[in-house]
Amino acid sequence: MAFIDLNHVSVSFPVFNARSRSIKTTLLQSGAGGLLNAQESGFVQIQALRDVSLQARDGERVGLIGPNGAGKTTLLRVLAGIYEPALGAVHVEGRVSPLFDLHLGMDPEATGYENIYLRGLFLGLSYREIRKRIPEIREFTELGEYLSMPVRTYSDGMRLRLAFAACTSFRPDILLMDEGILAGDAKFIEKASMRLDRFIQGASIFVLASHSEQLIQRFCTRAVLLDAGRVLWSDTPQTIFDLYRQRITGEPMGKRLYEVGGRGYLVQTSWDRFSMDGVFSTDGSYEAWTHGVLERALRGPERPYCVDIGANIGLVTLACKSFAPQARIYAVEALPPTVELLTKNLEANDVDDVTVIRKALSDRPGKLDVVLPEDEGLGRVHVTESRPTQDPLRHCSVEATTLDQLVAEHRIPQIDLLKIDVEGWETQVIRGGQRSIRELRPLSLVEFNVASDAPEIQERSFSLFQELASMFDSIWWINRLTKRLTPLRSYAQLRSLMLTGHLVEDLVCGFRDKHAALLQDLVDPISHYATYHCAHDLQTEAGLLSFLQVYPDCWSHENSAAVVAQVSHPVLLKFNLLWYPEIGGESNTVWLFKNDEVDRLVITEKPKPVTCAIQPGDSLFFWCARVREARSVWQNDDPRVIGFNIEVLDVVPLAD
Amino acid sequence: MTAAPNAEALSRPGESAPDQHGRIGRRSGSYLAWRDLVDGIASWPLWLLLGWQDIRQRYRRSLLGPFWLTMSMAVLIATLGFLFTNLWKTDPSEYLPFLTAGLIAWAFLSGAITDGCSAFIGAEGYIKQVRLPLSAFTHRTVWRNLIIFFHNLLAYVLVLVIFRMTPGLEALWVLPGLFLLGLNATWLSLWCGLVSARFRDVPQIVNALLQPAFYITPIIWMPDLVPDRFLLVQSNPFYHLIELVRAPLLGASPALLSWQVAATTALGGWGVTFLFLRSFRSRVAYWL
Repeated sequence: MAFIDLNHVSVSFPVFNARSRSIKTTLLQSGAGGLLNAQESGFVQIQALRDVSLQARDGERVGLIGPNGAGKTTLLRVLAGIYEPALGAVHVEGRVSPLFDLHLGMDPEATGYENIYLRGLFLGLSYREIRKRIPEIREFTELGEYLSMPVRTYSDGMRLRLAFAACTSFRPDILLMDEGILAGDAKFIEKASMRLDRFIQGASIFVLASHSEQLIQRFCTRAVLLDAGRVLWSDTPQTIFDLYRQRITGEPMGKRLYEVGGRGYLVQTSWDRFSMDGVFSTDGSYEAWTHGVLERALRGPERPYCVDIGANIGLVTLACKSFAPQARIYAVEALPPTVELLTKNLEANDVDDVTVIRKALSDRPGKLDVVLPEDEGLGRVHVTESRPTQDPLRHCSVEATTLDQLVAEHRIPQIDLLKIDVEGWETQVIRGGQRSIRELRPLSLVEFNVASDAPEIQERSFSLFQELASMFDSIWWINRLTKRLTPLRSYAQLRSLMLTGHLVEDLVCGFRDKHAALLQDLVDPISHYATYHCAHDLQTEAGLLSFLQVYPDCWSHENSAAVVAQVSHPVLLKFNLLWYPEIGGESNTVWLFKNDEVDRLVITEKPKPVTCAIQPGDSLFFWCARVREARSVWQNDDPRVIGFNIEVLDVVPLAD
Repeated sequence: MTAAPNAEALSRPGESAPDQHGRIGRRSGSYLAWRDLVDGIASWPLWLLLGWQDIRQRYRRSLLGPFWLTMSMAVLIATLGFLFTNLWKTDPSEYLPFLTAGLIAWAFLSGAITDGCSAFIGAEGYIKQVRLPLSAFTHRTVWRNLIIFFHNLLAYVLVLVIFRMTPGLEALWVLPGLFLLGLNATWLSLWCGLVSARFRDVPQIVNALLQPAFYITPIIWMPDLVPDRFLLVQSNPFYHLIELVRAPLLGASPALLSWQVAATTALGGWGVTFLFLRSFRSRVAYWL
């Protein structure tokens, strides 16, 4: 019985240039103790297959699909035993016949008969076995006496017939085929299709690498989608081609591959009525940056518990399953169309042990009204406490409960990961789960959106931050670019991050004693470039001004302005707030955030000196709604226009 | 969307039923190297055919065919023989058979080595398409050079006829001699092939070294000519390898020392080559 069993196979190629292929380079390097050309000693390795597992049993016909360079040919060669992988195990039982090149070893000077023997010998057959096939080959090729003539005297068509007949007359257990074979002469292939069908059907296992949907549909019962050396998904040829096409064109189609840690998950992203494709506006790896946190939260405990609030269509739930298949997961989702997709996605990925809770979470039980905006799909759902709407399709009323109640009801003994992503309703969820969070002390992943400066959003984020700060004793911000965590000490720091061009959308909250070590390797050693860079001196006017020169953006962002002051020892800062000279004359308000204390300062025509004590580790942040107006007035003349200015009067060192 | 009914047979990416050590179907390097050598010999029909094909391809459609080998060897011997018998005032009936026997033995050895360097590089097309034992390609090159050897041997017969000589029964020593020479040629060829696949300078280095080795080994000059026989003759392993074939052809049995040296180099060389094969056999396909 033939079978193929590949377990976690990785293959990488060394790419030699003339330099590293030469013995001189190697000798010189070893002679100089590896110091010479240290940067050139490591030649480039191309990872052709990564952690590929694949099984095939008797009777299976497998199609390999993927873009060029996905690893199809390499995988075939691994199956053929040509490349022995450096990592992983290959177990192939049965006589393997690789058919990558019809004309392999064909010698134009040799006769047709000789070439038949040659081909047979390459496939590991004996002379006797080959001799038995000769009449059948002669019959199919209709070459007759020509078989005794050198192949160079043949026409192209005769040559193809001979090669094809020689290759397909021997029945292998496992047949590996590259599509190039069948791409050749379409007319001939059509004519030879019966023989090809018989040949392919004669093999116990057939593996075909191809781009051609027609070929795969015709010969294969299953297909495998490869990309960048990884097996992303295996399914029926139809589904795989849908996914493949959609990956290439980026067109929404309802089903998408979602990648977590190099593994693919199939998710359905559209429902009959509501389009969810906006969720996947990036590259199908929505929220991939949080995976480092998920992984650490779930890999520790023997049986991790995870509460996924705002489970949406199940991406985080699936990611959790991928990191910890034994995890106990409660997926909380209230919107009926989304819940439907969620359950479908869990089913499609053979995940059947997730508890789906069809409720909304809030700070108290009851009913919640939800509005689905028409233009943005489900990605931007508004939750309102009660907002009447005319369109019943865009409005639904959902049942709400609290996290504390949920924990009690389901007798959840521990929570290792708490994910909250409920489009602006996070504060209420936290308030409704105070007891559970204090008792179970989960590592929490909270969506935190301060992308807008709209006053109500600012107010909402500020209260959410206050809420989080009162419940957890550590808050980290996930930098999407570096995928690293920055500890946040204050709301002012968070605002300044945003104002210096960072995207603040996800916070990780936890408990220092429980989670600091867990996340240690994810934490960014440099907390924030602004605080880092200006740490040396804000004690002098020159220092402050030079900081402002380095970070002019801090001053001109929308209607806010930020200074992140970090001093090496306590100082008393004395300053005047001035309007940018030409605007002056009108009094206005500037908010000064020092850590989480807020001061209301008023700019008057005649400045009044303000004093502010700054301790090491403090952050300052000025916010003023008038800057935008000022910018629109001045932006044509002065690109660095700012609405207000800080005139530093004095910096007095304070005794510790 | 429901999972395909036959989905469980092909592994799910997330599924983890791996052998923890990834040892399924994995054998030790020594075993696989050994199998390579055994399978290499077992695939004799293939390399015999390929070796023949190499020769025939070279001379196909020429009038004399492979006998051009004999011809060119005869021309070389006639020229060198004329030159050196006059130069050194030696007896042609003594010098010419010596020169011929030495040249054809050397041609076999050096041919196997230089061809061995490109045995795998030249067979890239095969190696990347079909799994075959690597040693089969070495056997092909050695076999190809053995065919050339036999064609060259006809030139020697010609010399014998001209000088009306018969080597006598001692000539039968040529069979074990040739076997031992072939054994040495094979490991040299295999080793060079392995190293050349990785380091493309090796064929050039080998060429550069074989040229002086030819002159320093008593092939065109007779060992009696030098006063210090030990330094130039006895300490040269090539001399002993050549002697295995040359001495019987000249009607003498090779010296015991020659057998000993050749046996030692064969053993040591195969030992080293086996270690190389064990470590690098699986890498060759990647290097090509």
